Amino acid sequence: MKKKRWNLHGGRIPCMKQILRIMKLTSVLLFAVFFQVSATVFSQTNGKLNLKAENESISNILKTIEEQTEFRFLYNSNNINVDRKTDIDCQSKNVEEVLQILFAGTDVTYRSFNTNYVLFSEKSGSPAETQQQRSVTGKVTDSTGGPLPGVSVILKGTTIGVITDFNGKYSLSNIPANAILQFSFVGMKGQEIAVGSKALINVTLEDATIGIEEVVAIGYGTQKKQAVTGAVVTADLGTYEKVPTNNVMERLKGTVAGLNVGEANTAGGVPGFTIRGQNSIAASGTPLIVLDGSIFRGTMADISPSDIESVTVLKDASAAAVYGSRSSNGVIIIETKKGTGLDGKPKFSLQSSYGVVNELKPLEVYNAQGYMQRLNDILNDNGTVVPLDQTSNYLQTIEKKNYDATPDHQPTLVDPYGMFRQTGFNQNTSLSVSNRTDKMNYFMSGNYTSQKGVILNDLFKHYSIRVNLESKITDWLTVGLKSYFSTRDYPQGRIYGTGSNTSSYAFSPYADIYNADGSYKQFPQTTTSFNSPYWAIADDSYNKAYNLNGIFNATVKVPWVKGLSYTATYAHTLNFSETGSFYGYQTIVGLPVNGQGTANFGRSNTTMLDHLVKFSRTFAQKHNVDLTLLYSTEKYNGFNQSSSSKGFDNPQLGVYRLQAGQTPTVSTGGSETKAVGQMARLTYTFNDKYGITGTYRRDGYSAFSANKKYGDFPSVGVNWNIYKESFMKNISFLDVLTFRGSHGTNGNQSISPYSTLAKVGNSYYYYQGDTNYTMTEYISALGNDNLGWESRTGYNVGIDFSVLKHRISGSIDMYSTKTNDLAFTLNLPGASGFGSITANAGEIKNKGIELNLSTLNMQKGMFQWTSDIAFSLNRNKVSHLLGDTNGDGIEDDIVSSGLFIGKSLGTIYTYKVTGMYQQTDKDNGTILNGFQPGYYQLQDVNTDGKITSDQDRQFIGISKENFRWSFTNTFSYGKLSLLVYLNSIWGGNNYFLATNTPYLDGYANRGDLNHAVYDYWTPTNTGAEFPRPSYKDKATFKGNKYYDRSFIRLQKIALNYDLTKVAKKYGIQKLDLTLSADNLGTYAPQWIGLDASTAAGLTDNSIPSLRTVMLGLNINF
Amino acid sequence: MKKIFFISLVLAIIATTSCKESLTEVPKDFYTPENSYTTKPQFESALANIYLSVRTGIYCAPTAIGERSVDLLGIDIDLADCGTNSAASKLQLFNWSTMNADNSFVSKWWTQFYSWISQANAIIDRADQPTAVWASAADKNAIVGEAKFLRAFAYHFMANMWGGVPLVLHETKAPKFDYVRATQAEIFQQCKADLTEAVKYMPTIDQLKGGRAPREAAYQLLSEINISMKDYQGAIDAATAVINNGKSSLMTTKFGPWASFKFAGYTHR
Repeated sequence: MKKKRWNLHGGRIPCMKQILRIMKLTSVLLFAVFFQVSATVFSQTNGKLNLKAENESISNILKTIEEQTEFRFLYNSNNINVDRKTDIDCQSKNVEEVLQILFAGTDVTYRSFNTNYVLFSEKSGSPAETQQQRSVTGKVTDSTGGPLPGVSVILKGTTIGVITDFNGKYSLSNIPANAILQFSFVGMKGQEIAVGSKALINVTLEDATIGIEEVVAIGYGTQKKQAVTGAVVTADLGTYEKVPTNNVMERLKGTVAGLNVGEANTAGGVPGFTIRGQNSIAASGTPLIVLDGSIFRGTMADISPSDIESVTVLKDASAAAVYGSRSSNGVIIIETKKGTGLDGKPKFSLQSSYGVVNELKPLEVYNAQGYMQRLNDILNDNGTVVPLDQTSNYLQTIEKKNYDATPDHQPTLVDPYGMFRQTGFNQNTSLSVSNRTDKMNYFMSGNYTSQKGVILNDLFKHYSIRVNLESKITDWLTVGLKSYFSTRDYPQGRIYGTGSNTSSYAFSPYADIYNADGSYKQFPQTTTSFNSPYWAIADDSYNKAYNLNGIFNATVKVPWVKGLSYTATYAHTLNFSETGSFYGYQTIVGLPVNGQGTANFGRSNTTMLDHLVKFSRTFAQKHNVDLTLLYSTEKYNGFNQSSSSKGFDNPQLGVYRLQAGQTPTVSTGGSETKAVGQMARLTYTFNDKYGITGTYRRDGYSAFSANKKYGDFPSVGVNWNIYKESFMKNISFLDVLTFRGSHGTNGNQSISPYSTLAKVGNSYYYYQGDTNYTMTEYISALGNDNLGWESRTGYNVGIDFSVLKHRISGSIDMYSTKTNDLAFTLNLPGASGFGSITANAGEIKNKGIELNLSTLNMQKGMFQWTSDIAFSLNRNKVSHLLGDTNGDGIEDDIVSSGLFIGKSLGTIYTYKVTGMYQQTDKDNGTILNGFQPGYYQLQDVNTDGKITSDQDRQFIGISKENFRWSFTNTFSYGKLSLLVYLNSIWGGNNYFLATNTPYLDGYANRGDLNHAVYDYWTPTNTGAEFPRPSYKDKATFKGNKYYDRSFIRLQKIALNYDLTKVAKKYGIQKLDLTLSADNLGTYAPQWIGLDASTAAGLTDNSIPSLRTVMLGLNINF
Repeated sequence: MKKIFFISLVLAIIATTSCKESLTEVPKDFYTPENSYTTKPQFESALANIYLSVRTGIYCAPTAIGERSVDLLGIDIDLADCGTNSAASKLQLFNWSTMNADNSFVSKWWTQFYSWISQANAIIDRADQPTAVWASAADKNAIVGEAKFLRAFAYHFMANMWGGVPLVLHETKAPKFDYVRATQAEIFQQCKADLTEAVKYMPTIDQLKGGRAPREAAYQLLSEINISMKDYQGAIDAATAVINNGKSSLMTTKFGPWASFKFAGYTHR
């Protein structure tokens, strides 16, 4: 049984949010659409029908009514002869009257549930039959506990059966004792239950593992999954439905192979994400986000995860081509929820979670004893030979005072770094109400998020409100609105205490935090190389963003052309941002200038208008044609203003009175862009077996050069549902097998506004004796008439499969792309009078393979174990750069930028560290000139006895990963379910390399500043991992050791308990509790330091990763 | 009736929204050459920018003495103090055997001179365009003359440093890579032609504030160029025009911020 969804994503099509479940009792496709249908029907607003048909089958007449009204008919074609042809000609009849006419003289009766009519034949029994001796009753519910009307309950081996009523209840009579009941429903897994002696059989039907009939968002519309030709993946959000997450990227992580989601380690942070490989050197790699049909201008932190209905990822060039010049990094389509009701009543839903955030791995800093030892080591290493017990003489003034204050030299600060760490929290609450009636549905929600990170002053607050409305004004006109208002609030520059000269790692155990008057000391341990982190914190700072977004659409179903509709979508986004800071006297910034304040304000305004014409029709039952035409315009304008001031006699009023400073300055700026897009997409499918989709998009963008305003982005894709072929019918284990292939071109609209125009710059000149300057002018930038977009062209081939009764399903995709016309900085000859322009040059290739697999591993009684696996591997190659500029006949590498023809981006070309020199090397004379014991030994490639940059550098490896995988397991037992999610990025074979250089930190060779504990070389610690302290200052040729970042991480564990049964007593429809934990453990065999996944090692700018334990609550009422 | 309403609604939506969009960019927060070379004050601003660069690059920075970056050009002594930090890098100027196009001193002046030439070319070309509004031909000639003086000023350094260099006489409006080297004689010839124009129209020294080159400077440079071209009578004539104009005389005392400077011995090898 298949789930047939009218749940059309995209927001432009008249939508039936509520999944209408169309019962299918036989394998006959009942609702085939007949081209020849001569019946015409038009529903008046009062529900009356005009109907005229001659010699038409009843099934077609019913189908016609369904297509043009909201009425739906459910029946068993085994019992009811719907193939019977009849004539009908009625005016202004209601649907009951029409049914009476159609079935006059038969035993067919009906029952109605809202607009759904279930037809019964008396001889097959009806729910009301009670006169038999042995009977069974019960209720059928779905996995959320909601009643399932329209489920067929059949006595196995017979045609006797009933359909559940609106409350999901059924009653069957006169059945034998050995009877087996078959429960089936579209889109649900069927169940068979032996009646035995039971009189009450309640059944819960589970959603089918794979819904091949499911529709997927493909941009400007939807498509049946089996007609999709490109690499389009609808993310499985269901797995995470009950698990609290901070943002949608956290939910998506690991669900879609080829969508690479990074780590966030600050409050309000959103992980970075890319799709497939790196296509560009200079341009952004961030995918295009389309929210409810409109290009999204905001951050993922603006979208509350609980508002999201679906996320679809367009990975390959052909699928993304509908978004033309912006699509070369792939597209993520996000749809927010529409109204659904709970038994026709408003549905309230509350999701709330609270979590505790800690550092995944706290950085260890030298304690008093270690600090003194390190000071001693550094002194000795730099030529001041001092016994350890006299090291204190070399402490700074304040340190020495505190060292001598107690006879056993107690430190004044036991855990100085700890003063800037804190236990953070995550708090999310969202409340929504939604409902649906025949003519109208709404979804409204409010969300509140508050987060505190693990480093002092790392805070984030987010509020958002969403209103989604849709109204069917007439039977041919539907209008809708999707809108949100979101505010984000961060303190500006929120990571305090990292970075070299204010790093909290640098605190000496013998430092003073406070002055005598209780204020913070600027130089806690005397040295002016280290400022107290408290002095880096602004008196006042803010970073607020306000986004207001409204997407209005109107869809017109053209009444006299079947399948033709027109949708206008207008989207308006207003983004406001306010940032500012005030540094008072007791700050590093404010002290020298007597206070400094800055207040910035920015506003941007984006409007988008799409005209969309769609035509979708099936001819002769076999030929399905789907045509989409788009004309889209988008305008953006932005304005920003910045005021700042220094020199405050009285800093009390801060940013609210910048004019109180002595030198207030102001600057303003603004920009404007326009984009025009035209797109045509034609999909033809034959018999649901063969499909072809062609897309052509033409985009114009104002920021492109005068000669390159427009770009063309064609694509084509084919698919073959081979499992529907007759010769495949005998392969019993195979449920679905589909081949896909596609080819397409995308652009990267990476050019910023006005960057191709000639510009005039200004400066100031003083003539002799003038006290006021004269403004000067000059042409600062050369116009560039030929700069276009980076374009990516590529193909994708894929297989979708499902075997063993859908127990194992998945897809495999392989792709190859090349990106041409990369935006490169091209130096101009000096004679031009200009320095450089941006030009299109070069080529990068990417190829890769992706696997998504879903399996049902075990199902026994109440226990079920399912898994989802995602695997992706990408290979990257720079195939062309700027050409042969030195004339040697070979295309040139750009070594200074790390770009090499024929190698991957991220290739590491440097000296190779082969070990550590020891005293014996010096004694034996095997040490290279200029090297010392405790220095990294570098490979002298040309063995000339010295290290030279042009001779001895070599290819070490690649910073990009080898492959990624994730493995999500869901175990459920009755009301308990457990999610275990493993995530891994793997290197090996010199992939995924990074340096870890605590020995090169600014103060690595300074004993008056503390440092994270690391294993440095000394004459008595010769097996050390890292070179001696003086390496940074004294070594002539420094090399860095590269470490493999490969890791496997237990990314998430979540335990959910469904308390619905308990809660029902109190009128609550659904209640469950979830306990989840993030980042519980990491296996990173090669990495040293904080976190392999973020490449945070032991350096003084390492930001700790987070571990979160959360408790979440979901209630529906 | 319904059909008519329906059609008119759709048409109304399309009609009100589907006007053809122009994708031409209209700058918002910066000036463009098209609207910046139209009036006399704007052309004077463009000249002032060359003077600013000459002052900063050759003579001294406009502000603190500590920021001065004095190279050899325009100072009639062989070696100037170049500030404490950059001293070593400036000494490379005297390692003639190792000097090549990658030498920062060489490449810096190459681009610096062409920057002045490019700016002067923009003034000369754009003064003739219909967008430029002139009160009188004299106004225009004075501006163009001054730009030509500055162009000759740059080219004469180049001819002396490199001999022949590419001769660029118009504003660069599109990227160009195929520059051809002219001969030293052609460069001098161009300088002479430019300066001959300049001395006709540039304001004289009594008409100008300090910080701007007067006609006398053009005569002086013309004299130098004539010497280089072995036109000694021309050199004499040009120099005589300065000597005899009654508006200028030789400096007899020290001047400027270093007026009280006392030489205390060499600071470098």
